[in-house]
Amino acid sequence: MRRLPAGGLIDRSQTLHFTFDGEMMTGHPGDTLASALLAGGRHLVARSLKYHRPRGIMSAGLEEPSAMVTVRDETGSTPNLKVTEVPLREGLQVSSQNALPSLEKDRAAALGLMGKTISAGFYYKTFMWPQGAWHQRFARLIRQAAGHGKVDPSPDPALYDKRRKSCDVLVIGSGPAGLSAAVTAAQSGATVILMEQDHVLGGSLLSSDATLQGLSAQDWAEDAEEALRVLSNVTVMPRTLAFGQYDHGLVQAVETLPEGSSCQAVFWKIRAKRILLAAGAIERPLVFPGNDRPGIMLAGAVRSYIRRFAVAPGRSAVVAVADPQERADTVAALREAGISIAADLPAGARLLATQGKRHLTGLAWRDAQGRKQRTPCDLLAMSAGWMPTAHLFAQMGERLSFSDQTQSLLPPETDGPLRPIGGARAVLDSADCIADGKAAAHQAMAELEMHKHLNLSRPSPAPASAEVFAAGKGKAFVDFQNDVTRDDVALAQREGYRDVELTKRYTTLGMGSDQGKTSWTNGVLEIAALSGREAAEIGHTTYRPPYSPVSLGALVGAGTGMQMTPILRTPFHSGFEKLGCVFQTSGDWLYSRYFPQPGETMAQAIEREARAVRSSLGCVDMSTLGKIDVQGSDALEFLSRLYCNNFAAIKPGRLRYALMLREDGYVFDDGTIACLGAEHFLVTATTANAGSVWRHMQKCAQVEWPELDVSLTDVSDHWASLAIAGPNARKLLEALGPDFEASRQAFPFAAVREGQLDGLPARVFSVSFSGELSYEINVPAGFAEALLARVMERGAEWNITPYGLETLDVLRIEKGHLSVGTEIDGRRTPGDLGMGGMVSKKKDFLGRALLQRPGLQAEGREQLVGLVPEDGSTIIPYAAHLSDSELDAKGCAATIGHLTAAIESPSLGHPIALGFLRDGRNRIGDVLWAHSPVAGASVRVRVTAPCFYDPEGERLHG
Amino acid sequence: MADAPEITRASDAEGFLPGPLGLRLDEEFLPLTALNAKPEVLDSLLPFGRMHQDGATFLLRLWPGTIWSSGPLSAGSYRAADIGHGLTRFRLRGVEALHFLDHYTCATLFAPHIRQARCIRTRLGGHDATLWWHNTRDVHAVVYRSAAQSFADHLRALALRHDPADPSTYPRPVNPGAPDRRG
Amino acid sequence: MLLIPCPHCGLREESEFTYGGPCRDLPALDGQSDAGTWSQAFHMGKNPRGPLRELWYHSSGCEAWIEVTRDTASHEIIPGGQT
Repeated sequence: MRRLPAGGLIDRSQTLHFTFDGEMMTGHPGDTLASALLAGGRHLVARSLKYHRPRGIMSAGLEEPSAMVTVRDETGSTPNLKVTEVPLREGLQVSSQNALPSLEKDRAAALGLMGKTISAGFYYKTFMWPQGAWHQRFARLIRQAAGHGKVDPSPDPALYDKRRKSCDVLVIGSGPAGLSAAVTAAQSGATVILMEQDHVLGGSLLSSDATLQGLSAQDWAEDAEEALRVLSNVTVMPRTLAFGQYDHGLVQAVETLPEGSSCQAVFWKIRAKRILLAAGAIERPLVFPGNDRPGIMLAGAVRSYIRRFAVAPGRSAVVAVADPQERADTVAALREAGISIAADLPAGARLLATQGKRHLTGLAWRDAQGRKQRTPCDLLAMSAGWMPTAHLFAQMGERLSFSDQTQSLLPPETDGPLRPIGGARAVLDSADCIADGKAAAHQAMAELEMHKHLNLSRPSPAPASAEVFAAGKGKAFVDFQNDVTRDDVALAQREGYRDVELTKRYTTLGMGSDQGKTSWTNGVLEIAALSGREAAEIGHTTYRPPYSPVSLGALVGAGTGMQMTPILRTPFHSGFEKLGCVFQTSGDWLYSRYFPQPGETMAQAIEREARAVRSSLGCVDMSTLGKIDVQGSDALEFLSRLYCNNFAAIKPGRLRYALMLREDGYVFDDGTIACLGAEHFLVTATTANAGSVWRHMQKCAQVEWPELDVSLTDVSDHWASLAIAGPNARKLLEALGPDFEASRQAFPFAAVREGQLDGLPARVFSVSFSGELSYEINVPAGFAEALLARVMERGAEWNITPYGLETLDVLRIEKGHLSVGTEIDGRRTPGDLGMGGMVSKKKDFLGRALLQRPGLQAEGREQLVGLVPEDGSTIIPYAAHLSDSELDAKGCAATIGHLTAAIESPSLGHPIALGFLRDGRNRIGDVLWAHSPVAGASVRVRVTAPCFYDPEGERLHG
Repeated sequence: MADAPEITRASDAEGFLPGPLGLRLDEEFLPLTALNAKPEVLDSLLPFGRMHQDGATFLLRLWPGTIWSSGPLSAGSYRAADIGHGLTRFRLRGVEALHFLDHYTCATLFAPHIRQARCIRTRLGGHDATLWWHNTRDVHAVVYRSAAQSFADHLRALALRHDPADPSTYPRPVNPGAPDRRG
Repeated sequence: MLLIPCPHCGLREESEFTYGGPCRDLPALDGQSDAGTWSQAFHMGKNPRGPLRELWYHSSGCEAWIEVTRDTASHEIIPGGQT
């Protein structure tokens, strides 16, 4: 047991139990998995990605590259968690990853012996032959040999949420700079959010023995927290990782909630006017042979485990710390913990090799005089300096620059909303950080005009120690997570992959889930040394969010299953449910699909519904169409400019089918224009385009022709619309009690009547999508159920049959009516659709100019046609391509068109199809092939006109 | 000739939402007319961004060229279109009603100019929502009728995700000497 | 995600808007006879690395079409005129 007898921010009165690879272990509230494992004497926790080398815990933070495990709790198991980031809870089951059969006896460690053969980029030079073996053999082998944890395939029972907040000043990080900045800003009256990814505030102060303003570091932090607690304009968010900076002061973060909360995690979007990034700095490892063994740790982590967690990470330590002050602090901490100092390496020492298989047992080195030394030890505290954690700053694209003075990548001065402070700009001393936080906060408050300018000076970044350590030859790791060694970086330079972006991709340096937090600066220094360039010339690669892996569940929030996007329902929804309707999602809508009677299949239902409409009477929901109310003295002129056909003579009480083009001349949408008065029109748009047509009309009214006197109102949801269709439709209309004349003469096709149906306010449009006599009855949506009830009751006399999307489609295909997405697919001109004659030659309308482009008027374009099987009975495969030739030996043929619809027609008794065919109208009567490689079918088809049923349209008039 | 029948509801929202926040969500039909005119003309009735309630008369101006009106129509040269059936009006009531919604709306409901105006049109969980309130414990939320059930379901799912002592949903105790909350 | 300054509603989140593309200054509707001029204006828009005048529709707000000038490299937004 390595727990120190006293001290630490842990609650010794409670014991928490967990398992690691089945072995029972204990810890206390306040521990992380890392500190609890170390307290229990467990150092070997992982195997490295490529070479399967034994790995332990190198750090005490999110920068941990090697110690990744799978953690199972009551919600399931999560792979690739760093032991340093998991707060200890009761009952966690932790397992190691990437080791078979066990962590101790990993078979794949033999790969380590192949070192030189599987160096950087080896997969570009191997696994090439035989070509076919890649998927079956090589890929599978590689997946088994390298990789991290496995994803838990069971559904995640946890709840997540997505929320927003805004504030004046967001402070990220609660170390000395962050606390100081937050207190300063809050006491000046700003709304402040203080965000900390750890579950306690304090940052580096938690393991510091500095004296600050007469107090211990921990007491100073406590005081600052108390100062924040009493202010109502401050929100403190612990356990919240700010993982990305985005435009205009947006920071995204994930908050992990405490045990017992309703949600597991919350994804926060925070808008702040100023963001002070006090994320501290990450310690830089030393690069020397064998620098990756369990027991080799960053010096700051050693101090943290001793002071914050009261754990002794070893018994006998070697100290290899460049900075003299930090070295002294590390030695002091080791002594506090009763750990013997086996060696305190002087400047100029050269590290040669480490011993020990699953744990460090010794270090071989040369002293400044060149004498070889061998020091037994089980802990090595190393540090080459500090790297500012400026990632969130760099994510917005501004480059960091390498400073020879600090030997690190530094953020430049900036006037953007996010400013690095404290360690994030290489200010390391705690007192300096406090001053830096205060000065930066005052600066921000002055910029926000909430405080006068104080122009406090900002402490300078701390220069790096001039003392360095050298290294001998051997496998020295630069990137621990991806097993990238110094030799790999050298290989990349030799082979010409010298640019930093190429070195990265060729060696995979910095491409792991740790994104190179502990490896990139060393990588830049290696590249510079090996290629004879200055470190400042090398540059760096792109920083991208998330800073550290975050839960996908949190990013989704509450939007799972039916909650993913809003689901739209028509006013007839509950009424249809009672009629046994089967619904389906169609775009954003939950739409009636078909109405099966007991024991019916869908195909049988469709056949019955279609026959009922053609022979007697059916009803269908048309409420999803867009409906726009257009009023004004220029209303007709406005509409005339939007649609390409001529309807200038339209009179009140009449309606016209209308075709709208895009500015580039292609068909955008179709609908009807009903004239309710000289200055009042009701326009419909298709369901799919309702939103776009509304936006388009708004744009034309506001931007293009603001001089026109026209008012637009979206009434799409205001009117429920039920179409009654069939030879008996007029009889039902009359039975509904209209207060207007409904005879064939008084209410002809293509007209509109307003009034009442037995007290129900209604507008009735005589239009037909099915090709039968039909009336679309619109009532205000709140009366939809009443209308449906009356229609079903009074229509029973003619066996009224409700029908849905499936039958709606069957009927319109039989008539060759257009549908958006199939025939109106954004690439068709009116001429292609057989409506060239509709296009007005007299008036100006949107799209007229570009419709005249030679390509859109050319002969031989793909045109809408109908198709039937040559033998009269073979089913035509849906989505087939049309061709004059058979499929050749390779299964190919030249395509001259494709199908947009294909059904077995109930009304005609044989298969039919619609499609586009090159020069289609000149080829009526020709016989072609319809090929569907997907369905594995090729059928001989004959070209017809696109309307199969009642081509003269006589049935419309009833 | 029968009378016009009852207006059926668009959602099943009625009573308390699940979860510990004690919020009620109810649906109440609101007859509404859209009055369209040039902005200058509407300015004389109600400036942009404002709401007015005077007995049965309710006016809401969240569009440059349109006012929503409920109750008796004022005289004036506007073009009117009935829109009440196309919209569903919900009332969310509870101590933290506005704070709850503020977590999810694109716009900040507690920004100074919104707190003053007490009305806004914004986006909440994929729904366009028009909100107004006379006090923060009783918020009117209007969405498109077709999205009404979806909106109610969404608020239910969100209410479940809060905890009683969640400090971000409750106002924190104020130290007597603390500076005024800004914004 | 951007913050877009609506001249009516103030600064609002990008998700309240629908993008309307760059301002194209198309010829007047009655200049429809010349497909060449229209094609040039419609298809050959400028694509600057720098300020670009563009249209946004405030679909979840006041439903007005607004013009802003946005720097395509830095995303800095300079409010434009009300359209």
